[in-house]
Order: sequence, then structure tokens, then C-alpha cells
Amino acid sequence: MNALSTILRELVGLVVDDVGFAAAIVGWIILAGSLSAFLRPPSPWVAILLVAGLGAILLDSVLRRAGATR
Amino acid sequence: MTVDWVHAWPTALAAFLASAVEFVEALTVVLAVGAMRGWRGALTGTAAALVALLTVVLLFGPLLTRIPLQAVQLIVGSLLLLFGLRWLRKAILRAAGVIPLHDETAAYARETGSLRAAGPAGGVWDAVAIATAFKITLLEGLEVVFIVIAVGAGGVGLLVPAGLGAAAALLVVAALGIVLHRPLAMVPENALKFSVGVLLAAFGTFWVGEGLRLVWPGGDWSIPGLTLAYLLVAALAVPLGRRRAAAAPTLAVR
Repeated sequence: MNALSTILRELVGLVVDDVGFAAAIVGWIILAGSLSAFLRPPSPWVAILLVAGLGAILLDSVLRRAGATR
Repeated sequence: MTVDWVHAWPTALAAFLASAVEFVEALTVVLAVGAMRGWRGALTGTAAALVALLTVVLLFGPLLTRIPLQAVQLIVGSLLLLFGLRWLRKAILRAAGVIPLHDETAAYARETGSLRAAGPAGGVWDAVAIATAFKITLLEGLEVVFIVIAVGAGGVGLLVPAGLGAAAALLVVAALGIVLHRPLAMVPENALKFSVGVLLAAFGTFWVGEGLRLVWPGGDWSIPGLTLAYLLVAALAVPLGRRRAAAAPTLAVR
């Protein structure tokens, strides 16, 4: 049981390290998906928005962590 | 089965580099087990974990082919994106000096210390050695299986180059381990994680976009563009993070 919970914890840890960071990524994906569902005809700008947002989330998370009290 | 060569080489490279990082971490612990408690237990634990991993792949692998490709791309792409950006974030923070670098020599010393503290083997089979080697091989191996499935999820035939990339990484790391007989401390792990993070984030973003039916400018050729975009963001984040860390308040140490 202990080994199983360790494996499960490790598997979740594969994709979630910082909960806020992971939630922001998932939220941005949902936002891009919602936007693309409404746009007809589909626009390449949604893809560009997806990438730009993910880059901004990464940069913001790094700077927040770096600026946190050590 | 046709292999899409636009994706095949980057897929194989991403799987090779990412798997190599995981295999290096597993090798450090297996070497520590072998050196401290004997090779019988170390190799038995490793072999048992490889059999368990093969069983997982054979049981769950065929299920993937039954799920519609678009759903696989969205789910696996999202997981790959989370995984890749997590690695990239950590590599940036390490490169900026915010968190310490991973040290295989220190990890080896830690592992040998705890194995020594576990006391002598009780019988013919050393349960501590077998369990330690089994656990690390299974955990790191599951990460490799995830990486192979994730980078190979984009289309028919991509699992083959992804699997070949991981297999090549296993052979290279195992050969280096046999020849050198010590942890691969000289492997520039953070540079590897940085590169792999960029590649996985680019692939993950592309698969998510495909799953959402987004229109990529340039079609499949947007993958190199995504790689370059993440590389630029990461390269910018390192000096900015370093500057922010230097300006951050430090807790007084008594």
C-alpha cells in the first residue's frame, strides 16, 4: 500500500510540481479551447495566443519563485 | 505503418534526451545498491522492474489505439505540456541559481549511506537491495514510458521513433555505467533538462493545439517555431530570474 501510494505520488509529481503553475497552464488551455470553439472560420491567432500565454505563465512563475523570500 | 519524418527525428531526439536523464538517475541508485549490497540484488530488482514495466506497456499500450487520435492528442498533449514546462521551469531556476543543481555524486553518497545504515542482508536474497533497485527502476522507467507515449502520441508511427530514442538512451547509459562503474556526474544534467523541457513544451503545445483543432501557422513546421519560441522565453527567464533572486529579501539565519 505504501509502495503504491509512493508510485501514485511520483506519477502526479511528474506533471504537477507547483499547483498554481499547473492550474494556470490548464486554465489557459481551456480558455484557448473555448475561444476556438466560438471562432468561425478558425483563426491561427488562437494558436499564437495559446503559445504567448503559456510563455507568459512560464516567465511569471519563474520570476515569482525567484523573487520569493529565500 | 508509415513514419512521418517531419516529426520522427525530433520525436526520437526528445525521447532520447528525456529518457537519458531518467536512466542516469536510476543508474546512480542501482550502482549504489550494487556497490553496497552486491550485484545479485541490484540486478534482480532492476530486472523485476523492467518486467513490470513491459507488462504495463503491453497491457495499456494497445488501449491507446482505441481512443480517437484527437482526444489522445489533447489529453496526452496537456500532460506533456505540464511535464515539459515543469522541467523547463526547474531547469531555468537551477540555471539562475535560485535552486541548487542536481548532483549525481551527492545522490550516490546519500544512497550508499542509507543502504549501509539498513544493516546486513538477512538471507540468500537481500530484500533491501532488491526493493531499492526495483523501486528506482520502476519509478524512473514509468517516467520513460510516459515520455515515449507522450512524444509519440501525435500520429501513427511516431511511437516507433520515440521508443527507439528511449532504447538508444538505455543502451548508452547502461554501457557508460558498465564501463565507468560510477555515477555519471559529468553529464550536464541541467543543460539536458533545459533542452528537453524546451522540446517537450513545444511538442505538448503542438499536440494540444491539434487536439483543440487550432490552425497552426505553417502546419507541422510550426514545431521548430514553437521550439524557438520556448527557447527564447527560457533564455530570457534565466538572467531575469537571477536578477530577481539577487534583489529578493533573505531570511536572517541565526
